[in-house]
This record gives sequence, structure tokens and C-alpha cells, in this order.
Amino acid sequence: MIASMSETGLMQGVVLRWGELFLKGMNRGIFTTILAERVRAVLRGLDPAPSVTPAHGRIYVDGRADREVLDRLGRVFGISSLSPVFYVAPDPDRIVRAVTDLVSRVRRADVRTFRISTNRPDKRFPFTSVQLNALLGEAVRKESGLAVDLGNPDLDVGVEIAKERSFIFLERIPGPGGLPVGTSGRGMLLLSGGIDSPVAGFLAQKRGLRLSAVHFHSHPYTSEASQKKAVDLSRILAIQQEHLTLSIVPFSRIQEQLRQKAHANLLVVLFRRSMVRISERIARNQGVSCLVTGESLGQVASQTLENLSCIEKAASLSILRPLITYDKQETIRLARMIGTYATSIRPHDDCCSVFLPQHPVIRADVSDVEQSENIADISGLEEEALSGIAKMDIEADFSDLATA
Amino acid sequence: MNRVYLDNAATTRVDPRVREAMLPWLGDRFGNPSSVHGPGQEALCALDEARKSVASAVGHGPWRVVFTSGGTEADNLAVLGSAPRGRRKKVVLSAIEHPAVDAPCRELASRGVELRVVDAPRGVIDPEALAAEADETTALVALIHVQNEIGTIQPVAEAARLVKRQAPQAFIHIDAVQALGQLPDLDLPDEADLVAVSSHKVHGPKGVGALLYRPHIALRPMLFGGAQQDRVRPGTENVPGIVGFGKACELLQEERKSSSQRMAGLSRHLRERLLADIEGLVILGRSDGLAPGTFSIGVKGVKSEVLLRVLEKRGIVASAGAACHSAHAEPSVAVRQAGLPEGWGALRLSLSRFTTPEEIDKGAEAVVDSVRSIREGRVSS
Repeated sequence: MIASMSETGLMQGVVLRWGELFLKGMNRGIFTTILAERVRAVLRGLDPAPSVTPAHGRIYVDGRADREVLDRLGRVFGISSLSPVFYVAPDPDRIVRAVTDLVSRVRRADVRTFRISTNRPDKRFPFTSVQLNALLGEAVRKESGLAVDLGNPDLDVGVEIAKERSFIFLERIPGPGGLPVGTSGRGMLLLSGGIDSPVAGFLAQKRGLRLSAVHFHSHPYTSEASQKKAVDLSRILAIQQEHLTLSIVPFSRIQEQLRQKAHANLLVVLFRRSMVRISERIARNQGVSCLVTGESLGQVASQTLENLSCIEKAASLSILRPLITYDKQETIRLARMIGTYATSIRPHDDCCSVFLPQHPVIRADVSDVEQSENIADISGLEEEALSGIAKMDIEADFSDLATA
Repeated sequence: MNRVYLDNAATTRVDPRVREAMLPWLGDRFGNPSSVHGPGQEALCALDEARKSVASAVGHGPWRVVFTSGGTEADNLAVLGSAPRGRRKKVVLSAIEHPAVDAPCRELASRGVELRVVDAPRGVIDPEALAAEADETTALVALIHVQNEIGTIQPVAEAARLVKRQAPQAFIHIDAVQALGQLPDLDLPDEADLVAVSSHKVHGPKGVGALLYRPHIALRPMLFGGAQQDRVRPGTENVPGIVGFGKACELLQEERKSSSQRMAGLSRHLRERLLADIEGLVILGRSDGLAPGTFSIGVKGVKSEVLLRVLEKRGIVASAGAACHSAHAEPSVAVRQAGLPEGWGALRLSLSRFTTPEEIDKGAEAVVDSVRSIREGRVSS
């Protein structure tokens, strides 16, 4: 109905709003600071770089309001909505002129009705919201010939008179919601290279967890390309937090030894328990306080309720499973949205498919499993795996993103 | 690491003498062969020299030679440029053709051409079975000379003669991409009409190939735009690459009698050692009809891609033929027809004239050892 503000080139900046953070009371200051940091991080590297100023209840991004800036801002968790804005002095005459001018410049033939919605946190301003609405409405009506429609207007003109800035906006783009990454602590994501785990990581980030990741590889049973997949997926997840530490753990020796010494049907559960133990060790070294997995109840044999709890007993840290109630199709839809799907479906074996038995156990018994672990001297093998870890610092790569 | 390269069917190293011959054409001698001035004419002469050298290495002329971007383009030009014509609506090919021949034939089939695919039990085509499919409606019969995955030599001379007896009007295309660098003589009969070859399989540079065809054939071009190469393949010629290909063919002719014999000896030795030291191993295809430099083995209880990675850790590079591109790929038709048992892994080992006896010993040892450790489940240490 209206030309997108970012395309008209009229707008001078973007105002970001958040929702849930108000609930956090005492922590609000910290949350605003972290959110502003996240905003600065996603804009880093842009030329020219917009400036970022947090203020009461808003973050102002000044200097650019184009598609690229909006795209990047639209990915920052914690933002509930964003609007390209036109700044104006807090003076009634100037506001009237600016609003009528903006309306005439963005107007298209199919725009017939409008509404003015004023918000006036700065109570020093001489008019109330209602008065200003009436004043502006009358001016726009006369100038443009548009009719007022308070219910469902074609053009919704927002005016905000805040202490720091006053501005006009014509659209309110929904943000991704959630909490800023880093405000809920840190999590260690078990990243396989498949479809589920990166989506689980993304959802954990959405609720404010900052991630590290661990990938288990079974070279030479699996290829170098499967490690490359884990790296590429990490780069996409790193967009939410700029940097991400990926630990790559050599896992084939543990798998070989377990295969020789344990019952084949228990192997999947044994592998998963070992991964959980190793991940927990890495997590504690990095000061990370929970594990995150892509498990979904009943999706495969290792993910029955009994097996999940048997796997869980290997760890003392909490295991978060954001996808536990998700259907595969729901996960795939999210993976496409995030941009991880195309990478996840590249055809390579991951370590979980090595030595896969024909009939994996559905209800693993913890004492059977522990007995096998003792026979295989699992703790010695895990120490060895821990000493062979390759640690990588993964940087965010915006170019990896499939544009939606 | 001192790597042993046993993947010469994929590509070969550029001979230093070839590189040397190319260098002036990447320097001062940069003329366009279509230009009438001195630098242009100099380049044109170099193309003519290379053309003679390639034709002479293929032998059994007379040939017209059209340079292409490689073997794939040469095969495509042969298939799409020669068939079908008028009421000749049928193409016959073996089941073990390289995709560069197989795919354009299937493209023709999608346009309504009748396709007949003849099986190759144990990796070798039966010339009579091939000829039996040819009749007066046949436009083209395509046959690979040395099969690229299993290294079996096809009886092209006999097949060509039998086909022509059944279908004198049919063109016979020979894909000699692998054969050129391995056989002491291509032994092509007069009945062969088209032959595809590639530079980088014979120690020349990548990005050059050639289609040789009999002078009476009017090839339909696939590209349009210029008068180069009699309009059969327009576009400014890749002069440095073609010069390199020419030089590679010249060296090939000087050395192939002896190098062919040496490669055959080395690969026989390698096969014998593998057969002796590994249980559950087969040589794919008929062992009496293998090219000097290429063969494939089937190994019980071992996945191809795992074996390749374990070998690489030990400094040996090889391939699994067409199955190496994806972890979930099925073995190719050629490998299955050559007798790979269900569930076994395939490994292709291919030599060049640079392969040494020491490398063969090292390779044999590594394969034996790798297979053993994979079967015992202890490759991680």
C-alpha cells in the first residue's frame, strides 16, 4: 500500500522496541546494554556504519534505514518490533509540516485512508496525544484529501515525542522476539551436522543463551566434509552472537572400543552417553552451565523416553532439548527459515551412523549400560578424546544466509 | 608427506616438458590464431602442429581433428553432432559408457530417439551382442575403449567391423579418453568414425580435448558464433592448452611402448600381491582384458569411502570410481556388471608412466594393512 520506507530513502534511522524486557525489573539496565551490544555486533562491518544509542525503552540506530540494515536488525533476539523513522524537532509546527510532507511523498494511488497515532512519553510537550492527533489529522486531511479511518487505515502514521528524540514512522516491522543472546547464560550445543541440532541451538539462543558448540567426528569412518558441515552450521549460529567456539572431538576410537566390548544393541545409547559426558567436561572448562541437544521425543530409537533418561543420567548439568515436542516437519520449516537446512542436508555420514546396529535397544537399562562402560574402560578413552580436541573460533558469516 | 598417487584415471600430472612447451604461449606468443598478422599466424601454425601430433598419437588416420574443452565436450559433440539423421533414429551404446557419452545419448532419447543399451557382463562387451542391436535405422553406435572405472579393454575393432556389416550407414564413436595414455596402440579399425581423447589423462594440461572424425563426416556443431575450426567448434582456441596437448601426445608416442609395458608389469604385480594377501578380494572385470594402468578391486566387509580415507591417512590416494562423490552413492553400472558382490566396497587403483616400483610396493602394503585394520575395527589409532 505504501512504498516501503527503506526503499523511499526518506528515513534517517531505525527505532527498535522490545517487549519482555520490561518484565525483568531490576535487570533492565543490563538487558538494554546487552541488546545494544548485540545490535552493534550485527551492524559491524557495514559501510557506512550506523550509530547505536540506547535510551529509555528504545534503541536508536541512526544514519541508515535501508534493506540491509533492516535485515540484520530483524535477526536480533530481544527486539519485538522496529520502525524506520524520520526525526523531527519537538515543535508542533514542524511536526505538522514533516507529517504532511512525508504523507505526500510516500502516497500511492491505492491509499485512501489514514490514521495518526501519537505517543508522548515527554510530558513537557505542549499538546496531549489526543490533541496532537487531531491537529495532525486535520492537516493531513486538508493537504492530501485522504479520509480518516481509525479502525483499519491504509496508512498508519506514528508520531513519538520522547525526551531524547521525536520522530515519525509509517510502519512497524515485527522483530524476532525472545531475549537478547547472553542474558540467560551459556549453553553447550551438541552439533551433529544434521537438521535438528542447529535448530535447537537457534531456539536456545532465542531464549537468551549464548552458545558454544561441540562436534564429534569419526574420521576416517566419516569424511572431512562432515566436519566442514559442522563449521558451516556454526557460522550461521554465530550470527546471533558474533563469535562461537566450536570444539571438534575425535570419537572413532571410543566407537571402535565400544563396538568390540559392548552389545551392539546398546551402542547408540552408549555413544550418546559418552558424548554427553565429554560435552559436560568441555562445558565446565568453558564456564558453560547447560547442554543443548536436538533430541525430539520418539523421533529415533535413541530418543525414547527410557533412552533419553538413560542418556541424561550420564550428565550432571541440565540438558535442554528445545525440540523435544517438535515434529520433523516443524523442525525442517524452522531450519529453512534460519538458513541451516541447505547445509544440513548435504550428503555426508555423521558419527551417529557409524556402526549402527540393526535393532537398537528401545529401553536401555542403566545398569547394563554402565557395565558395558566399565568393561570398555570408557573414562580412559574419554580422557584421550578430550586431549585430542581441536578448538575453533567461528566468526559470523552473513553471506551464508539464504535470503528469505 | 610423500604421497603415492594411484588415481591417474582421474587425472595425471603435467609432464615438465609439456609445461615447458606451453610457457611461451602464456608469455610473448599470445597471438589469436584467427588474426592475419604475424603473431596470429604463428599461433595458427602451432595449432596445426598440435593437430598433427594428436592425430598421429591416435593413429589409423586420416582424421580431422577438432579441439574441445576436454573429453566431455568431445564425447558430446560426437553424439549430438552426428546423430540422428533423417530416418536413422536409433542409438546403440554399451551399459558401461562414461557419463560423457551416456548422458547425451539419454538426452537424445528424451527427444524421441530410440536407445539400445547393451550389457557388459564381467566388464566386457560382447561384439556380437552389440552388432545385433544395430540395423538400417541406426545412426550411432558408441563404445568406450578402456573403461574408466574398471580398466577393461573393449574389443572395439571387432565390434566396429561387425556393426558396419549390419549397419553400414551407422557412425561408430569410440571414447578413447582412458585408452590413449595406456595402450601401446589404439588399434582402431577403418570402421571407427569418431574418437574422443583428452589432454589431462596423458600428462597434458586440463581444459583441452579433441574429437577426431573421418573427413567424410559432416558434424553438426553444438556452439555457434565464429569461423574457427571450420565452424564445427567456434570460439578462439585455447592455444597454450592445445600446444601442451600436442607436446603430451608427442611424448606419448615416443614413450608409450615401453611405459605401457612397464605399467602393465607393475599393476600385475600389485594385483597379485593384493590377491595373495587379502581374503575376500576380487579383481573386477575380466582379468585377461585389463588395460595396463587401471583396475578396480572389490573388498568384502569394507566401505569404499572409509577405505579411501584410511589409505589417504597412510599417504596413498586412489578413488572408488564414480562412487566416491557421495557417501550414499550406489556402485555404478560398470562396477556392478563387472561383478562387485552386494555390500562389498570398490577401490580403483590407476597408474601412470611416472609410477615407480617403490610406490607400488608402498601402495600394496597400505591397502593390505588398511583393509585388515578396517575389518578389525581399529583404524582410529
